[in-house]
Amino acid sequence: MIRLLVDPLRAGSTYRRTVHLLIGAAMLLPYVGLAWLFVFSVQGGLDAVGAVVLGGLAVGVGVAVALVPGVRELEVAAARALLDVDLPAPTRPETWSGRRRAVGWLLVAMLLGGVTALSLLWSLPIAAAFLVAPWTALPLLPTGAGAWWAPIAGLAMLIVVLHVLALLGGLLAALAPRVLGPSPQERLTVELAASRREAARLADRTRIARELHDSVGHALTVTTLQAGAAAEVLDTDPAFARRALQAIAETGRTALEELDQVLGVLREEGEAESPPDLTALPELVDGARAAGIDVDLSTQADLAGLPRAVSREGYRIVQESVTNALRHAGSVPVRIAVDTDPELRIRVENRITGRGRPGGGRGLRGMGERAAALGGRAEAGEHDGYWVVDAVLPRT
Amino acid sequence: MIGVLLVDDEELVRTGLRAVLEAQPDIAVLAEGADGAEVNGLVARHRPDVVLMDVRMPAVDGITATRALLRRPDPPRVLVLTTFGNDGHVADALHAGATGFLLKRARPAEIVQAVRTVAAGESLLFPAAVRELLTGRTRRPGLTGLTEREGEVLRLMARGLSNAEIAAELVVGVETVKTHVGNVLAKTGARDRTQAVVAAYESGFV
Repeated sequence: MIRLLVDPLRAGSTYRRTVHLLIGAAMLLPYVGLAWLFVFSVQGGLDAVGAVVLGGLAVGVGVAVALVPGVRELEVAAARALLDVDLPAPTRPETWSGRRRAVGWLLVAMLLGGVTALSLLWSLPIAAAFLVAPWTALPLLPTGAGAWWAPIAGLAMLIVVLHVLALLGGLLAALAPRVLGPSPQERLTVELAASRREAARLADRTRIARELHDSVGHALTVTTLQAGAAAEVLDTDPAFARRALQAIAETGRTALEELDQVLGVLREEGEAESPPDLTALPELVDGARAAGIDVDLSTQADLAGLPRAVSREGYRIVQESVTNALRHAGSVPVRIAVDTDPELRIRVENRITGRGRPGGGRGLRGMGERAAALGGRAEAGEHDGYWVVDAVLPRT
Repeated sequence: MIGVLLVDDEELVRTGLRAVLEAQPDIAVLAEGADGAEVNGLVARHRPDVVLMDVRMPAVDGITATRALLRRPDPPRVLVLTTFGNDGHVADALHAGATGFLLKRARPAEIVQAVRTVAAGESLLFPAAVRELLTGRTRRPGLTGLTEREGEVLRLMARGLSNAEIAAELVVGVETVKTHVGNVLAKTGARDRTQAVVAAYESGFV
């Protein structure tokens, strides 16, 4: 019960979402101004033509803003950063259904923002008045010793306001995937693109298989036939047998060259996609620092000497740990220690902050499973106010 | 003496086959061609008994060349050469009228035996492989007009039995079997055992 009352006040998400609500309110302001202008003009005797022009202008501006390319991307970025919702970046080029979603979200954000702004404008001055009532005489409010309850009422009101903000923010976050998230059409587009890439990859594989089939199959056929013939006529036609042996050697050589080429292409394609390993740790740290995280990396180890699979897994563990720290604790300092002797040992720790969100156990379990598959272990847990990821992977 | 024509665009295949076949006292390689386009002219000039025909060739492929060859009044038998046994070309070649097919990687003794079998026309080459190739292909209308005995003979032909073996199996004379085989060929419109067996498989008869 107490938690239910206090948690929304402690959660960082409440305040970040409030910022989003206030942005919505700020965006609403020009429209409020337009509406006011419209109302005053009509009251001041605006004729029908003027009313239509002014009204059309107001609606036109509203629609036009949302249709500007990039607005939806901006909306998605803001929702991701402030609402803690995981939305995919909108597809390019923008579609009409995407623009409709941009307009829809703008309306939702402005509506909830307007509600937020109104409730704050109404409640904050009253709460402030209650808080100072015993010491200051204010109209309509008691003052002096008889008003001992007023500051308590003011405080309670502030708490209620924060809860209302948490509820409005939660509503906004809940609506984001539905209103702003990808439309069925966009999801389809993304899936289509993925399946097209897959088809292209398969076509490449088929082409390579056919090339191998043709070149190696052909060479083996010819050498088999020539060798059989040479054995058959070795005594009766040694000259042919000699020519056959030369032809076999030459065919084998050519086939090996072709094989080399095909495998070279395969290897290049493989390397282009190969995941990074611990030798890329400095780049990872630079990236994290560029994102505003204070990273302390301590390692004197020979990271290049590790087996590929172990090194790759190590990189993934560090990467996931840093990402998790950022996601759950915000921009807190992260300490990374890597040692490779006698085995690869990785320790990533960060202070636990109040804004932590539960969940994400799947990632940690996957980390443990992958480490176990390499004969090692990876654990994560709380130690003296720090979140610590500790992984050990054998070098073999 | 079996006269042979070699048609393959790969010279090393031709020289290898020639060495293997020429080593036999009863086989003579009369000529070589490097493309299906040369086949008709070479056959007219050298009158071979058997043509060893590659499938994939630059200008005219072996299947087209086989089809064209069989329009001649007295066509030679065609033995199709193939690198891989499981490609659809072999079945296509049998359809086009080839008497049999031969993997290029076959042992020298198998190559020689295949040429002799096809030249004699007395039994089906590689019956198991033919069955595998032809089952599951699009079926044509059923064979009609075969007597019960002729049907039995056709089934034994499909199993690769020679006339003498069929005679032993049915406990009849070889001459009787030859008569039955002749009737089967006439009724199925086939010019040799292979074509009769192809028709039998495609009609679902066997």
